[in-house]
Amino acid sequence: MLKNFFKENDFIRISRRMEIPTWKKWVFKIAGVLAGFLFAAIVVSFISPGSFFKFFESLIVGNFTTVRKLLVLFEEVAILFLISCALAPAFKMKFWNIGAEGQVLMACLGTVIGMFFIAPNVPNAVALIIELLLAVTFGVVWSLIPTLFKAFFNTNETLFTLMMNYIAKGIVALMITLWIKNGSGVIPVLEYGRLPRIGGQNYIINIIVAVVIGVIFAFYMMRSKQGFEISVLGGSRNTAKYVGIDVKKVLIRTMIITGVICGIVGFLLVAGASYSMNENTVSGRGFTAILVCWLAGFNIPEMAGVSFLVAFMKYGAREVESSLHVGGSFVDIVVGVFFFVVIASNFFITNQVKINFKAFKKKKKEVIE
Amino acid sequence: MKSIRLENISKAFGWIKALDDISLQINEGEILALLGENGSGKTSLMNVIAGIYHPDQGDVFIDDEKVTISSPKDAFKYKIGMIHQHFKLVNVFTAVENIVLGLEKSDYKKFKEEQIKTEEEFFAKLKGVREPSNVEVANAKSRIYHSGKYDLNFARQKVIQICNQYGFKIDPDKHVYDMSVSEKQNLEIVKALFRGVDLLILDEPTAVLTPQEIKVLFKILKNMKADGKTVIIITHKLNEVMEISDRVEVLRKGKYIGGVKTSETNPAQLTEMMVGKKVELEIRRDTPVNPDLRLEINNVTLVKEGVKVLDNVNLQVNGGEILGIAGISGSGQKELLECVAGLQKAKSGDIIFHNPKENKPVTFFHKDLKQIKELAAQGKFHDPDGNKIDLTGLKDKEIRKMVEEEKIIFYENEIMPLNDKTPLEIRNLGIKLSFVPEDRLGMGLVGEMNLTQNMALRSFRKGKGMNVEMKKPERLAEHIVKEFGVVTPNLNTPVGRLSGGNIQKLLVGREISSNPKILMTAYPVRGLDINTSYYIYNLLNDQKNARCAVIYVGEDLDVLLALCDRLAVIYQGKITGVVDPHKVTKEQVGILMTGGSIDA
Ligand SMILES: Nc1ncnc2c1ncn2[C@@H]1O[C@H](COP(=O)(O)OP(=O)(O)OP(=O)(O)O)[C@@H](O)[C@H]1O
Ligand SMILES: [Mg+2]
Repeated sequence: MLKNFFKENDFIRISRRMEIPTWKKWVFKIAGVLAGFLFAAIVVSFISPGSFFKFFESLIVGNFTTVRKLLVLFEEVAILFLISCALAPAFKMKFWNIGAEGQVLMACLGTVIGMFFIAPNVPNAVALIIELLLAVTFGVVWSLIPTLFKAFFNTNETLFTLMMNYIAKGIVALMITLWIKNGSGVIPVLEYGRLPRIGGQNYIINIIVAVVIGVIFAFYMMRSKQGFEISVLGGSRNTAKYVGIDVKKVLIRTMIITGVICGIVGFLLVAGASYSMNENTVSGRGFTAILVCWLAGFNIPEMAGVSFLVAFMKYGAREVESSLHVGGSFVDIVVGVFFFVVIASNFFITNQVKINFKAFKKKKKEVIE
Repeated sequence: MKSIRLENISKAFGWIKALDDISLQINEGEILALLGENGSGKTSLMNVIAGIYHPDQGDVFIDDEKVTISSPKDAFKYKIGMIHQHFKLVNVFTAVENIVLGLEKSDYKKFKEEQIKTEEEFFAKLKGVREPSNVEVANAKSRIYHSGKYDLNFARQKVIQICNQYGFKIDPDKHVYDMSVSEKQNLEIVKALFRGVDLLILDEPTAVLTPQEIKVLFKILKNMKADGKTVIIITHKLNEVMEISDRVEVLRKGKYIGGVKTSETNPAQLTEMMVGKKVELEIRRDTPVNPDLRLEINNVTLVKEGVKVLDNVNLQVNGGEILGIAGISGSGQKELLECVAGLQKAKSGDIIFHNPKENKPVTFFHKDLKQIKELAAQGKFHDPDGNKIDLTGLKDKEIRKMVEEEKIIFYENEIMPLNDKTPLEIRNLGIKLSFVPEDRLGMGLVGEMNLTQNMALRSFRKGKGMNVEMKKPERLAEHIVKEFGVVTPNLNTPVGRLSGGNIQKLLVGREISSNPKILMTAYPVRGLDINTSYYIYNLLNDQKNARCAVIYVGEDLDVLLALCDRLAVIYQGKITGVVDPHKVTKEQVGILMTGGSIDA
């Protein structure tokens, strides 16, 4: 019905755009984000009447009013952004790694092993290096297994990486029960092998690391020879072969980089923030990062922006939830509505919508006659 | 539909006016050829009629009524269909599935009503002869009303009927992935006819077809014309224009230049209209000077999926010469070039490169210090005075200096086997081998990347450090754009957006720019306008004069005979003859191309 309305009438005409000037694209993107906020606010005022403005207030209160809230916000941004960086190069070369969740989780496990077994007995600096090495090794192993299978047996990487997430969770749960003999099933907050606090706050170092890696990584993807190879491979496999790019080599190399970054993320999550872990430490951010990558079109600076939006919405909605006393899945609904609108706004970037006012007038006339 | 009139159509992409105030008329029942140089706006203009582009200005009239065509679906409503250079079929579906695909329920009802008519006709014919049986009536009804949304049987019958009517050879149940290029093209046309188009637009349909297939296509087009359909065909081949069209319209740089009746014009006049000035269309062929062996292909056999794609091929390619390769497309030409380029691994046989180093100084471009010492130990070098060089006991620094001063000189050509070498290894050996492959966006360029990046594809590893050096590629892109007249908004445009001809110019330009020792080209003028084609022929001739060994795989026998110094003919992976183009006739080459033999 609706489809026909758009197809058959003379008032609104939709067609695919061939290209769009950059400024216009950004206008649409920003408008999309604003519309997202608006719709989210409308949904909130449906659930809790009269809270339209309260919603915006909560967004601010939830994120900005104290230093701690700011730190929490930006640490979340940092982690999401880093995981997106880990995913982007493989995605760009059309290797669909949806296993970042497991890759980071394994890295967390590596870090915990270092903190639990080694850190109490060695100087802190040594402990940190060992933890980092363990985390990176675990992350790389977890990203390489499906990659090698892809490279040498051409297995489907999507299913494989997805499955590896669940295996990782299982291993972590098993390890915890093996180590923690008192039956609580929880690793206590670990004292040794922590990253130093800056200004008495723990998250700052994570944020700094994300900024540094982000800048290096942006250059890597956009300027370096290896980044160039990735783009060529993503564009055309045959052309890559034609110019002498070794497809398998680049695939494996790229997934090692993915593993290394996932390793660093795991290390930061445990040694820089929670000082402990359980099987939900990554809490779905390995999947959310996929959304971030796509929304940003694999563009590194844009990925930082999108990560910010995701984190901002998450904590904002949490504040709404507590200040309006609404149910638990509320956050998901609001965040969902927000991103639905943002993604839907892409429609206007790829399509041209024309409203034909003349036809509208003509119809009116006909009706009058 | 009777006629289409375009009035003052304009369309710009960035600062490029792809279409600049174009007005022209298309009459019912004619075959109209649309001519113009690369980037003159032919495809864009047709895209406007087919509902893919929206003009910034101007109107389209069908039978004097102003219309807005805003999608290909819309175009079908006005009985207009367009066959693009790149087909839009679904590979895993059969022909008939592809045809019904995308039909709306309402469309389908319409077709079914048409069927009612034919059923009615059936019944009408029966009238007076005998009463239709109950079974016949019930069958017809159930066929019409109770067979789901897509009545494949009905579609199949209609496809067969279309094929018989116009002379297509299509098996409705064949999968697209099993089809040749020409079958796919036919299927696209049948699909359009199925939807009842009265105006069919074909964008460079002959660029991908063999001469035989072109003949068949033209027969079909003539049948369509006889049936009252209108056809617009875009092509760069003037002999085709002369053969098939009733009228010619010419565009130049987005502007409408004029139209002529085909019977009242000639290729020279058409070229002048297209280019804007008189042009000499002459293929230069200078006499080769001391050609010397550059590439040996000995007993090469290549097997793919159990089929011998190359069967014991022997060829010699000389520096300072153009070797033509003629053959029906798909006879192994592509595979032969890919074997040399290191993209395919031959099952047996040798490919040997003779690096022309005799009395040339060694450079660090293709040898490192260690290799130079080894070669010196084997006695491969002499000094400028002709004495044998012995490097033993010299310091590295001293050797480096000698190399830089070009004092270490090869006695003879270097012989380098290329079997089992990857493209990268070939490059690292310092062999300057350039290759213009057949499928330019599939191999050779990356559509999503911009001009500069595509220029960097060959050279991005050069230079120290991590980063890709973009200055030189940018200069190269600038140079090619200027030298070849590539029409592009700027150097940051993704090459996939450029017109087919412009894409080809970029590829050829890049491959020639490295002063190759071997230059392999497969159909390098495919999709290029005549002026540019001749420009490329002459470039190949220049490369030959610069002592490059040029391999030219072509389809136009007139060009092959006029351009090449030697001509090899390939048939089903076998070389059926290497002939002298000065002495042989087209007919004789034709015989070799189909596996026959001639005494020459
Ligand atoms: N989508 C697009 N974006 C940017 N530029 C475009 C686009 N489509 C066409 N152009 C430009 O418009 C001009 C006309 O292109 P068009 O494809 O119509 O040429 P053409 O006559 O079909 O050329 P060819 O013979 O090479 O196919 C070209 O300069 C081309 O680069
Ligand atoms: Mg074109």
